Parts: sequence; C-alpha cells; structure tokens
Amino acid sequence: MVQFIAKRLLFLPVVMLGVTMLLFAALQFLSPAMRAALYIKDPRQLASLDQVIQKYGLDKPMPVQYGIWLKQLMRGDLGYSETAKMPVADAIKSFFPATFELTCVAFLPILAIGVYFGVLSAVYKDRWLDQLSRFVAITGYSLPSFVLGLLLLMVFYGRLQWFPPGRYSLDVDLLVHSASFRHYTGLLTVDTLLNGQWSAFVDVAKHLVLPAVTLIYIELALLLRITRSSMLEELGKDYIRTAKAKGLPGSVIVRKHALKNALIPVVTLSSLLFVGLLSGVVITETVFDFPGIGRWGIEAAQQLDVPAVLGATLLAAGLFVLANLVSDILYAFVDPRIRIG
Amino acid sequence: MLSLLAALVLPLAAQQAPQPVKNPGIFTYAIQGDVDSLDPDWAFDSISQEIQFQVYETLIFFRGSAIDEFDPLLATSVPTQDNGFLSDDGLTYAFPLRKGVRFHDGTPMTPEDVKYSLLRFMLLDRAGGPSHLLLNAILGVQTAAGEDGKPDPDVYRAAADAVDIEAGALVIRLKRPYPALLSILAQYAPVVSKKWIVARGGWDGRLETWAAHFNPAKDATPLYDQENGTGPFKLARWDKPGRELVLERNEGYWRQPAPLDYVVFQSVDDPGTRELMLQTGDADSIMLERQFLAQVASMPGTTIIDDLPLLEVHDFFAMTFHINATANPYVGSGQLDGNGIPPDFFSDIDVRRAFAYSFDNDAYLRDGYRSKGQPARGPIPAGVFGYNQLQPVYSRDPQRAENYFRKAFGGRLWDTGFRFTLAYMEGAADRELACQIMKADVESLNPRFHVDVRGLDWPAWLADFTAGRLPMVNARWQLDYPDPAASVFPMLDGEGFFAKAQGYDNPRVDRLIAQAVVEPVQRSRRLMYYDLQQIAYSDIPQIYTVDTFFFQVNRSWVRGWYYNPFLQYGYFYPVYKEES
Repeated sequence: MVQFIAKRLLFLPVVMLGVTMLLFAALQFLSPAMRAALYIKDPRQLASLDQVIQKYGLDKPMPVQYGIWLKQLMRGDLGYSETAKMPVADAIKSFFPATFELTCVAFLPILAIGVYFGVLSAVYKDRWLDQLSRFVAITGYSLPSFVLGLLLLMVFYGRLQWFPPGRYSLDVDLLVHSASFRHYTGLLTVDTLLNGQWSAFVDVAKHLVLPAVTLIYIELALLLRITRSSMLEELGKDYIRTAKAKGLPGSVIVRKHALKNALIPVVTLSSLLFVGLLSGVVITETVFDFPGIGRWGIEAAQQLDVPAVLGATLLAAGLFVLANLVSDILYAFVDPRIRIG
Repeated sequence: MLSLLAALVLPLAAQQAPQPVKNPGIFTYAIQGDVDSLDPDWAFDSISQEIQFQVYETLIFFRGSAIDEFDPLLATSVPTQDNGFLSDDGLTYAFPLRKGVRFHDGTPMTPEDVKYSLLRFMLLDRAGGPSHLLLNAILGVQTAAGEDGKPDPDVYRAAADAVDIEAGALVIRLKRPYPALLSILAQYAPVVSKKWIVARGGWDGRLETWAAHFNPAKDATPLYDQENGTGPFKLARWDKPGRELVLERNEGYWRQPAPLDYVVFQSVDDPGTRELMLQTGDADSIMLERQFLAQVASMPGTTIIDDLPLLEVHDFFAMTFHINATANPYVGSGQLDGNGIPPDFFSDIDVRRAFAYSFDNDAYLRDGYRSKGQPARGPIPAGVFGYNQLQPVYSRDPQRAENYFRKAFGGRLWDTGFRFTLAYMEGAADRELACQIMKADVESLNPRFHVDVRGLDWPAWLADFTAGRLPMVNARWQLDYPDPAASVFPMLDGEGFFAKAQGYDNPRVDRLIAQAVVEPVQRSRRLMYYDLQQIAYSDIPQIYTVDTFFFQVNRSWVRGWYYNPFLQYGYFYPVYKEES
C-alpha cells in the first residue's frame, strides 16, 4: 500500500507540470504586449511595455519563456490581481479559507446523506423512501442554485432574519479585525472557538447555514442517484444471490458486500464534488455575498483580471490533481485488487 | 436575473413588523462601487470623496443643505468683505486658523500644515485629478506641468507666493477674482499633516523634491490607504478585497465627538442584496437606482427622501477619440475588420452622429428613471446658470443613424462592421441599462455591429478611462461648484477630466471656456455657455441622456441626515440612530 501511495505521489509533480504546460500554452494565444500587460498595476505603465516584455523575457523563445514563467510560479509570483487589489498568491491565501470552510460544512452532510439515502433507495427500490429521494434528487438537480439561494434568503434572512448573508455580522467583523483576535487557521468557526468567542462562533455558523444548505440540496442529487444505481447493480449480481442463499442477514449483505463494491463510483464522484466545491462555488458565493474563491473568480473574469483567473485556474487544477490522488488511494482501500493490479 | 428575482420576492419578504434599532452605534451604508483612493489630493471621484468628508476637514464647510453659504470649520471665519477677511478687490482671502485642533495621531495642527495642504493639493497634480480646481482658481492655470509635461518651477513659485501664513491666518492671493473659490475650498484641499506624510516618504513641500512626487501613481502616495486627518471619524480598516471600509469615531475630536461609534461602507453590487440589507436593518442607507425604488417604497421602517436637486451631468456616453490600443482588450482586433475598432474609430464625426441618433433616450428615461426627469440638453445640467432649454438634442432616428454609419470611414464601416466594449461602473444598474439600450439600438441596425457591455469595478474604470483605453463609457459628473464652468471645463476643455481622457480638443471651446469664467456681464456670459452647448451638440464628444433628481433611501431610525448636492451621500458627523 505504501509503495502504491509513493508511486502516486511521485507522479504528482509530472501531472502538475503537464497542467502548467497547458496553462502556458493557453497564455500564448495572447500577444506579448497583452501578456506584458498582466504584470502592470497602473495603465500608465503601458508606455514602458517594452521594458516589461524584456524584464519577463516575453520576447524570448517559447521554452525559455516557459522556464521563466515556471520559476515565477515556484516563487509564488502569480502576478497582481486588480480585482483583489493584491498579489494573486495573497488573494488566494485570503479567499481560500472561506471557501474551504464552506466546502467542509457542506461536503460532509452531502456525503453522509447521499450515501445513506442512496443505499436505502436501492434497498427499498420503488417504495416511498425511494420515491422521496428521487423527488429530492430531481428537484435539487433541476433547481438553479441562484433561485434556491434567493428563496432561502427571502425567507430565512428577509422575513425571519435567522441566517444573514456574508461571512459574519458587523460586531464579529469588528472583533475578528481587532488586534486581540488571533487568526490560527483562517477558518473562522475554528478561530472563534480557539479565541474563546462563543457568540462569534454562533454568528459565523449562522452565516454558513444558507450557503451550505443551498450547496447540499443542489449537489446532493448526483451522489444520491449514483449511489443508488451503483448499489442496485451490485445487489443484482450473483455473489449477492449466493450470500442470500447462504442465509446471511440483509444488513450484512448490504454493508459488508454490496456497499463496498458499489463505493468505487461514489468515491470518484465524491472527490470530484469536493474539488468542485473547493474550486469555488461561484453562484452560491455570489448570491450569499460570501467572500470566497468563487466570488473572487467571477469578479476577476468579469473584470478581465487575467492573472487572477490564471491563479484560480491553477488552484483548481492543483486541487483536481490532488483529489484524483486521494480518490486513487481510496480506491486501493476500498478494492485491494486495484493496488495489486 | 438576480435582481429580477429579488424584485419578485422582496415584496413578499417585506411584510413584517417594525424592528427596534439594529446596531445603534454603527451606521452601515451599502454602496455601489468602490473607494478609489483615500488621498484627498489624488482622488477625484464621489465615493472616495465621501470618505474624505468624514475623516478630513476643510477650512470652511457648507452650511447644511445650502450650496452658497458656508460655516467656518478649521478656519474661524468665512472671509467676506464685511468682516474684512476678503479684500475689496476680491483678490485676497484670509482664513484665521482655529487653535487646539489635533490630527488623529494626536499631534496638533499647525499653520504650516494648512499651507502645505493647499500647496500639496495644487502641486501633486496627478493627471485627471482635482489639482486644476485650485490651480485655476488661484493661479489661473490648468496644470502645474510645463509644455514638456514636467513640473514647472514657475508654477511652484507662483503657488508658494500666492499661499502664505500671516498673523495666524492663511492668506490666499488670487490672480483674478474667482467667486467659486469658497465653494471649492468647502470641498477640497483638506488639511493634512505635513510631518506625518514626510515621515512616510511623502513630499516635503520643497521645490527640489517636487518632481519625484509630481503626478504620482495611485498607491505611490502615503495617503492612498492610510489617513491622518482632523475629522470626526478616523479610518479603522479598509478591507480592499472584502470591499468594506470602516470608520471609527474620533474621540479626540476638537468638537463634541460624533454620536456614531462606527460608519461602515460596504460595496454591494447586487441591488437586490442591498434592498434585503435595508429591509433587515443590516444597512441603514443604501444606494439604489430609481428603477428599483418601487420595491422599497412600501417597505416598513424605510424613509425615502425624493426630488432632491442634482448638480450632475447624468449618465452620459463619452467616446475616446484616440484610443490607447496597446494591449487593450476593449478594442478587439484593434482594426476595422469587423472584429474590433481602430484607435481613431470615434474620431470620425459620422460614427459619433450615428451613435447619437441610435440611442433611444425616451426609453431610457422611461425604464431607467420612471420618466422622472427630462432629456438632458447638453453638458450643463438643468437648474445651473447657462442651461439652454431650447438647445436641440439628439433623439433616436434609426434611418439617420444608418445613413451616418454608411457614410463613416469612407463607406467601409457599414460593410465591415465593428466590435468594441462599452464600459460602465459595476453595480450601477441604471448605467448598465443605458449601455444595454445603446447596444440593442446599435446592433439592431446591422448584424455586423457588436457592442459588448461590461461592468468594470470603479478603480479599474477610472484607471482605464484616464489612460484612454476605454473606447466608450457611460459616466456621471458631479459639479464641483454651482457654476457652469464646473461642468463645461471637465466635459469640453482640452485639459478637463473627460475631454482630456477622450482626446477631445477644440481650441475655440477652450478659449470660450476661459473667457466665460471671467466675463462680468451675465447676459454675455450666458450666451457664451449657449455657444458651448451648441458646439457640444455639433462636435458630439459626449452623448447626453437625462436630467433627473436624487433620492436617498434610509431606515426610518436614521436621524440627523441632510442632503447637500455636494455631499450627496451624507455627512455623518451629526447622524445618529433612534427609534421613531
């Protein structure tokens, strides 16, 4: 197993190199002047664009340019984001914790509810529980997230005033930006607790509720249906019939035999889902005014803030590669034949 | 789409019982757009200025809602000939300085700080900035740069001679009478701390070091994102990525400290979200477009103050005559090939005429302003001296628009088509609507015509526009004093904010503007402004749209707020919150 993981880890830089090559190739569609413009902060510097081109070697042969660009990436120099008014690397550091926090809060319920009810739907096929889960899945999948988000805002913020948008309220805003508040992780639910600020924790948690519920409802559908269909496929196989013939209890057949084999596509989907959430849930973050990677990314795209878009793309690609690695490792745990093969 | 849905669901959400005052010591303002810079001598936009009014102070200030009456602020008297602080010839103003005023860092304000502040305001002279207001008023010049674009030492000497400290008073000597001076000083050149700025690498006020600090980049001045004023509030935090700026009460203020503990400015692009914030009491005031006003009109606990006079050239289109096409994503291919536009696209008068005849201003007035207002007749807004209500205006005429498009570029434009980006300030739904109407009207004439509408965040809009990168924009201009010169200069003069960025340069216009400023006979002066409006109609550097009114949306618990056309969004020193 260790050997299997080590092999995968060694392969990781190669994949990342491929990703950077693709991104660099995409950049070549821009003229050298356009690429040079990515390094300037003030349009008045356009007058000295030739110097910028020379400084960053944008007139050099492509392999040399790639080398220079890669070195910059390694140093964390991803350019300056006009949208965030700070270097891209700093912007990612600033926005990513919020998205990570929201992702964690949404992903665990998605996983738990999706797998649990997906399995039950398969076991109780065409009974009321299956019909209910189908209804939830279809409505969730077909409902645009901004519609659901605004409806939730209307009821739970506009009318009941329980769950406000944003990341925190004004008093917590003042608290977390005060000198006495220590930022240990960037995750405010954790940091407020570590600072002993229980009421601030409650406030931050309340702000997470609506975006998390929106994400859970929208993203749950696919996992629910994939788990169900995968389980149904396994439950129809010969080894299950054999197990039943042997007189094994139904719960053991489902948990120990069918579920384990049905988990392979679930693991794949879950990792993709997790990365999708981490890369920024654009609509949800925008509707709830949640200051994460998604909201920043969409603002950057609207403003033609190319360094920011590149940074966000690189982050998404890196996360995708990592998620693939994790799911490969999980496959090996779920199905030993994979690591042996 | 988000706004549309919000419009549908807000009335449902609005039916609820009145609330007690939320966050009594904190005033939250949900605004459109972003703060550009906190440097009062660099920034020249209304949102940045709104912050400056709270943290800095000028020598004199507007008396309540009046635009031509003043109260002393850091001075102890407003100069008049009656009190002897204004000379009989109207050329020398003396401002006795208040004692006991301290900056936010606790250091005392000195006469040297006051003199330095005026000199810094005039001599920083960043391109497109506010320096020309005092350069023109005091020295009669538009810029501190010589013909070579470098800082002109003669201007420095003239400025240093014109501004002096005598017997504890700031004395300003003008080259010619300039009645608008007090109005300008009530808004601009607030007092900054020389020592504090110099300690942070800023200009020390000497001629020898001036060039290094002349026309600086936005973030190259120490006051860009810090402040040390004397005002009733001080900067607690400017969270640029979070688009939030927090001011806290200045406890050491020379007057009674302000009732509010904090004033928070939150940039919120979506009007639906702003409305929800108002409804829940998370915002005490919001900026809103008139097209959404009906949604908050019936909201309990909300006060709408309407029909407020605007001193503003409203939502006009400005076209750049010589576009800076270097690495410019807004001009497509940069050529007349159907996929872009050449840099001189709008230099062609036929193109400008075609756009002017394309735009359906009636539809804009109806849909954007619910017919509250009238078509604008030129660069001078209604109600300002020199406004000509008989001035002809362009209105939508598709046939004429087509004829001019067919004539443009020697007849090539109609066959090749074009594509470019029309920009507005992100979050300004009314300006977006104007752009969408222009897009639809122009594209309906020829399938080869493509106008991409894009909202840019405010600082990016300003930077790209002043660099001549944006081919066409929709914009507003608030007058700096109640006089037509405050409108025609920025709009039409070769050195004015818009005309300069657009590359519009008509020597006859420049001459007329200069003559009109000093013309003593009112009738002659009026005719000069009529002429200028006629030239603007003929040359079409801008396409004017509507003259309308301002309105303010507050929670009913907001007290002490008052309107002044020069402080549109409010002066928060007297504001407090109390239940009805």
